[in-house]
Amino acid sequence: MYIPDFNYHKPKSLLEALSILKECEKGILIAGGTDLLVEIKKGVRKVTDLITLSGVSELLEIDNNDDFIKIGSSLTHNDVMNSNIIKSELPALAEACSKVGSHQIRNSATIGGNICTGASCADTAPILLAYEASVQLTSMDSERLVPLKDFIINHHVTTIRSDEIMTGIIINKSKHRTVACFEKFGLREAASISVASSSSVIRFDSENCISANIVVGACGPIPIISENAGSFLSGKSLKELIASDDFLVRAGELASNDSKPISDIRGTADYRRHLVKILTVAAIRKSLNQIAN
Amino acid sequence: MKQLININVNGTNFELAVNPGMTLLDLLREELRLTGTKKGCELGDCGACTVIMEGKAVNSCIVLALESDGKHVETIEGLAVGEKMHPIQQAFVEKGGIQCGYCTPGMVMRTKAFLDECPDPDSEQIKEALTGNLCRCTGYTKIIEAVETASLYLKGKTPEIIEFQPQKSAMDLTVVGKRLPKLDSPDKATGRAIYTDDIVLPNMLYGKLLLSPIAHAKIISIDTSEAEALPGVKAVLTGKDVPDATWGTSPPRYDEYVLAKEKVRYVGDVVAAVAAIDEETCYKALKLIKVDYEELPAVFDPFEAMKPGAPRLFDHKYENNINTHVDHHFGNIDEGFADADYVREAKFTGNRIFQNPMEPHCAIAEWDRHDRVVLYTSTQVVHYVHHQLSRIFNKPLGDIRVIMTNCGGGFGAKAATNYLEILSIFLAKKTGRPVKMRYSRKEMYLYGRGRHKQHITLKMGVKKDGTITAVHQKAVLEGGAYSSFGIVSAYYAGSMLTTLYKFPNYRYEGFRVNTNLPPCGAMRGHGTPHPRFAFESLLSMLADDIGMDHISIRLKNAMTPETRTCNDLDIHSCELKACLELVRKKSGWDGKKGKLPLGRGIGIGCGGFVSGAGYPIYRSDFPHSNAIIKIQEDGSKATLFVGDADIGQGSDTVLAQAAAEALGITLDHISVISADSELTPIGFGAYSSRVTLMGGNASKMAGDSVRDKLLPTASALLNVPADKIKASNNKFFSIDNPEISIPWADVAKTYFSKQGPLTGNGHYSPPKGLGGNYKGAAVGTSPAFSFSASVCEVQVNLETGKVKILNFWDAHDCGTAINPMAVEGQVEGAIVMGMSEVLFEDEIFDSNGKMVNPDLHNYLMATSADIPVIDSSIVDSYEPEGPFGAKEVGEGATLPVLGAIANAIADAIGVRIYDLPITPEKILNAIRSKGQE
Ligand SMILES: Cc1cc2nc3c(=O)[nH]c(=O)nc-3n(C[C@H](O)[C@H](O)[C@H](O)COP(=O)(O)OP(=O)(O)OC[C@H]3O[C@@H](n4cnc5c(N)ncnc54)[C@H](O)[C@@H]3O)c2cc1C
Ligand code: FES
Ligand code: FES
Repeated sequence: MYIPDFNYHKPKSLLEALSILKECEKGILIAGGTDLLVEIKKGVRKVTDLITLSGVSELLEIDNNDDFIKIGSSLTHNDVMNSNIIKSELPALAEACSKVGSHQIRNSATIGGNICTGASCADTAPILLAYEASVQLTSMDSERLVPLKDFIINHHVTTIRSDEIMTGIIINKSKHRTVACFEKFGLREAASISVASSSSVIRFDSENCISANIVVGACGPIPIISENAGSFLSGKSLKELIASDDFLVRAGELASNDSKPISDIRGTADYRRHLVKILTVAAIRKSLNQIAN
Repeated sequence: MKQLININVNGTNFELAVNPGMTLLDLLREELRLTGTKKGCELGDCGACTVIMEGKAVNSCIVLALESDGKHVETIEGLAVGEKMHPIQQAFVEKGGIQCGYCTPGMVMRTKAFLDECPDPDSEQIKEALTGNLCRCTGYTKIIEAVETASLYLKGKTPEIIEFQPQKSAMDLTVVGKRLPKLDSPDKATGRAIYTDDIVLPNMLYGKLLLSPIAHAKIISIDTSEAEALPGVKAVLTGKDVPDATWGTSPPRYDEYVLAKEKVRYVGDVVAAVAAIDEETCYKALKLIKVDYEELPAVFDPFEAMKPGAPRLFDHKYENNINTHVDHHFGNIDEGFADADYVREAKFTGNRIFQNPMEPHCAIAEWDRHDRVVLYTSTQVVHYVHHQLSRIFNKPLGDIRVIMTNCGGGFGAKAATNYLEILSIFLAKKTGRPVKMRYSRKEMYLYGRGRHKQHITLKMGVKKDGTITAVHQKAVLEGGAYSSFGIVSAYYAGSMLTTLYKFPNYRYEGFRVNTNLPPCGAMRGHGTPHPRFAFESLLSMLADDIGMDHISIRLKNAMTPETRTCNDLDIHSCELKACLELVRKKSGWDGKKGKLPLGRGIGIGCGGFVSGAGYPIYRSDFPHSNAIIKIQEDGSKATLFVGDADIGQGSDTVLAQAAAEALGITLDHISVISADSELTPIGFGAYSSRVTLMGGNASKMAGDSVRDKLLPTASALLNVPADKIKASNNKFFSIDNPEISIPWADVAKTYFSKQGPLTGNGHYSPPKGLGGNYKGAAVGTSPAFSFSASVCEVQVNLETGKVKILNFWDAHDCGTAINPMAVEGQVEGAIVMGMSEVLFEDEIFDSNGKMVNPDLHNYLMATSADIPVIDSSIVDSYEPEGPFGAKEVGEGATLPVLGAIANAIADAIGVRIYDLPITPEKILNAIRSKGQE
C-alpha cells in the first residue's frame, strides 16, 4: 500500500488556495484526508496535484449570527461536536458528528470533507439536510450559496465546480421552536458506518407542527428527504403527536417507503427499510421529548 | 519531488526531506526509526499508529508527513522519562493490559490524549474513548482497568490493592500462582519491543507477492520482462524459478507450490515475487508482470464442490474435492438412539473467520557468505518453520537460523510456515541482499488460514433424566484451496466433542472440502468451536424438550476425573462440575433463567481443550518442549532458553515462573531467551494450547536440575544434609531451621568457581501411546484437558435485532494457574474474540470468489464499546501431568463462548438462530417468523 507521488501545494490563505485551484487544472483539495488518502491508498483514486487546506485558517471558524450559523468547512467532527454554539443551537448535528468513526478519525476528518465526498453513508449530510443547510462555494470569480439538497446529487457526485472550495455550511436560524434528533444504526456500538440513519428537524409555532424534515441516511445513493413523512407531520398539533404513537409510526412508515436502499454487506434493502421506520420513530420521539422536557 | 519539513518529535526538532506520498507513520518509522508506533491496517481503522499531534490523537497512517510540517508530534518513545515509565505505561504493565503489545503504543497514546482532556473518566467514557484502537488479545477489560488506574496515578493517588485468594494448589508456592506483570510488558509499553517489521538491515531490499486476481485458472504464460526492467527492481521470481516440491502443514497433504505452477486456485494464490529497493517499486513492478490466464470454472460452496462433475481443484487427488474424509464410530449409535427417550437433530452453520492478529505477518531473510540463512519472522512455531525451510531448501537445520522477534498476536494465523518466510529467502538468495517482506491487511486475509466454516448436522439422544445416550455429528468443512492444517481440523472437529460430557455411543462423519477460496487453517480452538457451538445449542434445546434446567443437564452428563472417553481420550484432572456450580452461583442463574423479560436472556455454554497435542505435526521423536537454564557465574541471574514462542499469551513469563519456582529464586532473577532456533533448544511452539504444560514441564525440569546440582554445595556451605535443604526466595535454607540459610547466588557462585558452568536441561514429551488404535486416533490426544463453563446475559433490542452482551461469568479449570492475571487475560480475550465472532465477523466473497471485506472497515471486530462486564474465575484443580499442576487456558477459553451467547440469545427472543454470525437482521427475521407461526 502506498501513495504515489504528487505535487503538493500548501496555500496560506483562502485567496491563495483559490488561485492555485484555478491555475492547477488537476488540483484536488485535501482537508483531513480520511476519505481521500484511503481512496488513494486503495488505488481507487489518482491524484497528481494536492492542495491542502490545512494552512487556510479562514475555514476554521464558526460564526454565530442572529440569523444564521456558519460552520467553517475545515472544522473537524470533534471541533464541531465540542463547540458550545453547536451544542446549544444545533445539538443534533453535534450528535451526528460524535457518531462519525472513532475519536482519532474525528480529530482529522472535517465536516466539509464529509459533505464534499458525497458518500451515501456520510453521517452529517442527512442532519444538515434536515436543518435545511446550504453550502457556501467560493471560487476566484464567484461565491454562491447552494442548498445542500441541490449539492449532493448522486453517490460521490456533487455540484461543486473544480475551481470552487466549499468554505462553509450555513444553517439559518428559525424563529420557531425547533427540535431535532439524529439516530444512527451501525453494526457495532462505535466506529461503524451507518447501515441506516434518520434525522428529524421539527418546528412548531405555539401549538402546531409547522414543518418537519425527515431525512434518511445510507438508504439510497444520497440522503433522502422524506417528503411524505414531512408533510404528514406538518399541521399536526404537538398535543396529538405526543398523545399517540400512531402518528410517529405512520411517519416512520412513510419515511421507510420513501427510502431507496440497496442490499450490501451491512444489510439487505428490506432490513434497511425496517430500520428506517424504527430510527425515524425514535428520532421523532426524542425530538418531541425535548419539548416535553 | 522531496520537500523539506520541520517537525518536532518528542521535543526534538528535525528538518527532513520527504516524498509527498509519505505518511506521518512512515516518517516516524522509516525516517526517524521511531518504530514504537505500529502499522496495523494503514487505513485508519485500527489505531495501532496513533500518535499525538498538536495535543490531539490522530491515526498517523492517514496523515501525510507533509501535513506535520511545523507541528509537535508525541510518540510512545517520548512518554517515559529516562528509565522511569510514564504513569500510563506503569498502569498498563501492572494491570496486565498488555499481551502481544502490538496495539499498546497506540492505546497508550490515545489514553494520554484522553486523560489530558478528561482526567476523571468513568468506565463507560473509557470504553467510548478507546473505540478507535482495536486489540485482538486482551478483550479490553484489563486495558480499561489500566486506564482507570492511570487516571489515579496521574492525580497522585494510589489505587486500592485488591486481595486475591490463591488457589489451594498454589498456597505454598512463591512464584507460581502469583499475579505478576509480564516480563516483556515494560518494553512493550514503551515502544522498545522489536517486532519483525521494526528491523532494518543494512542494504536491505523489500519484497512483494503477485496474487492471482482469478479464482481458478490455468497459467498460460508469464512475462516478467517489463517488471525486471523497472529501475529499482532487483529480482522477479515465478513458478519456474522455484523447486517442484510442494510444501504445506500436514505431511500427508503437502499441496502448495512456493509459487504457482500451471494453475491458480483462488483469488490470492501466489504467482510471482518481486524484490526491489522499496515497497512502492515492488508494487509498481507487480503491475508490470503480464500473466496470461485461461480461466476455469470455479466452485465456492462445499456442497457444490462435492457434486459429481464439479470443477476439480486438483486433478489427481482429492476426488470430488474431498480433501479429508473421516468416519468414526464408537459404541453403537443405533442402540444409543434406541435407548433414548428423546432424540433431536438440527443443522448448524458456522462462519468464515480470520484470526486478524493486529500485527501483519512479516519476515526478513539474510544469507551469509557461508551459505547459511537467517530468517527473522513473526511466527508461533519457529521449529515448524525451520523444519519446512530445511525441506524446501534441502539444507540441514544447522544451516538455517529462524529467529522469532516479538510477535504481535497469532491465534493460529502464524502457526505454520508462510509464503513470506519462504520467498524472502529465495529473493535474498537471488539478490545477495537481505529482503524484508510484509503483508498488508488485505494480503493477510488473502493468505487466509482462518477458521473453517462448518456445516454441521448434529443428532443427540437423551433419557428422561437427561443422560445422553448417543451423538451423531456430520460436519462439512469448507476448506478453501489448499490443505494447510485442514486434515487436522477435520479430525479435531469430531474428536473434541467427547471430552466434556460422557456418552458411550458416538459417530462422526467429517468432510473437508476444497473450494476456490483462501485456504482455511487453525484458529484458536482449532476445528472445534463450531461443533461445540452446535453441541451446546442442541443440548440446551434437548433440556427444554425434556423440561430440564440447562445447567442441570450439563451437570448430569459432566465429565469426571480419570475417565476414558468413548474415543479413547484419557481425562485426568477435571473440575467441570465445579465450574458449572460456580457460574451458576455467580451469575444468579437460578433467579434469572426463565424469569427474565422478553428481550433479556441468559445462556450457558461449556468448553475445554487439549493442553498440547499428544503428537507432533510431522513424525519425529524429539521431545516436544526443551529448556536450558544457564546461571551467571556470580549467581545473580538465571537465563532460561526455550524454543517455545511467546506470541503475547505470556508464555515467557509463565515458563520463567515455573523455572524460578523450581530454582528457588524470584522472578526478577530470571530472564528468558526464547524461540531462536540457534540459541534455544527445539520447542514445537505456540499452538494447540501446549506451552504452559509442555514448555512449563521442560522449564521446571531444567530448574529442578540446576537446584539439585547446587544442593551438595549448599549442604557443604550450610553444614546441613542435602535432603534437609530447600531453595526458595533466593535462599537455600535448612527445612528444620529456616534461620540457617545462605543466599542462592552465593551457592551458585561457589559451584561455578569449583565446577565451571552451571546449567540445567529439561525436556518434555507427552506420555507414550496416548489415544486409541483407530485411524486418526492421535488427533485430540493430550496429556491433559481443560474445562470451563460460561454464563452469558444479553439484551436484545426487539425492534432492531441488535444484541448487547451485558455480562459474562466464566469459570475455568486450568489446573494450577501459574499466573492468574495472565489466565484472566486469556479468558477475557477469548470471550471478546468469541463474541466478536458470534455477532460481527464473517468473510464475504462475491460471485467470482473475490473477498469483499478484506479490511478492518468492513470486516468488523469488537471494539472496547462492545464488550460485556466479564467475571472470570479459576477453580481449584491440580493436573498431575502439568508443571505445579497446570494445564491450558488459551484456546479452551474460546469454546464455551459461542454456545453461551447463542443460548442466551435464544432465551431472550424465544427462537433460535442456527447460523453464525448472529446478526441483528437474522434475529429480527427469526422474531418475525416466530410471530407468524
Ligand atoms: C476509519 C474511518 C471511519 C469512518 N467513519 C465514518 C463514519 O462513521 N461516518 C461518516 O460519515 N464518515 C466516516 N468516515 C469517512 C470520513 O472520515 C468522513 O467522510 C470525513 O468527514 C471526510 O473528511 P476529510 O476532511 O477527511 O476529507 P478529505 O478526505 O480530506 O476529503 C474528502 C473529499 O472532499 C473534498 N474536500 C474536502 N474539503 C473540501 C472543501 N473545503 N471544499 C471542496 N472539497 C473538499 C476532497 O477533495 C475530497 O474529495 C470514516 C473514515 C475512516 C477512514
Ligand atoms: S495503521 Fe493506522 S489506523 Fe491502523
Ligand atoms: S495486546 Fe492488544 S492486540 Fe495484542
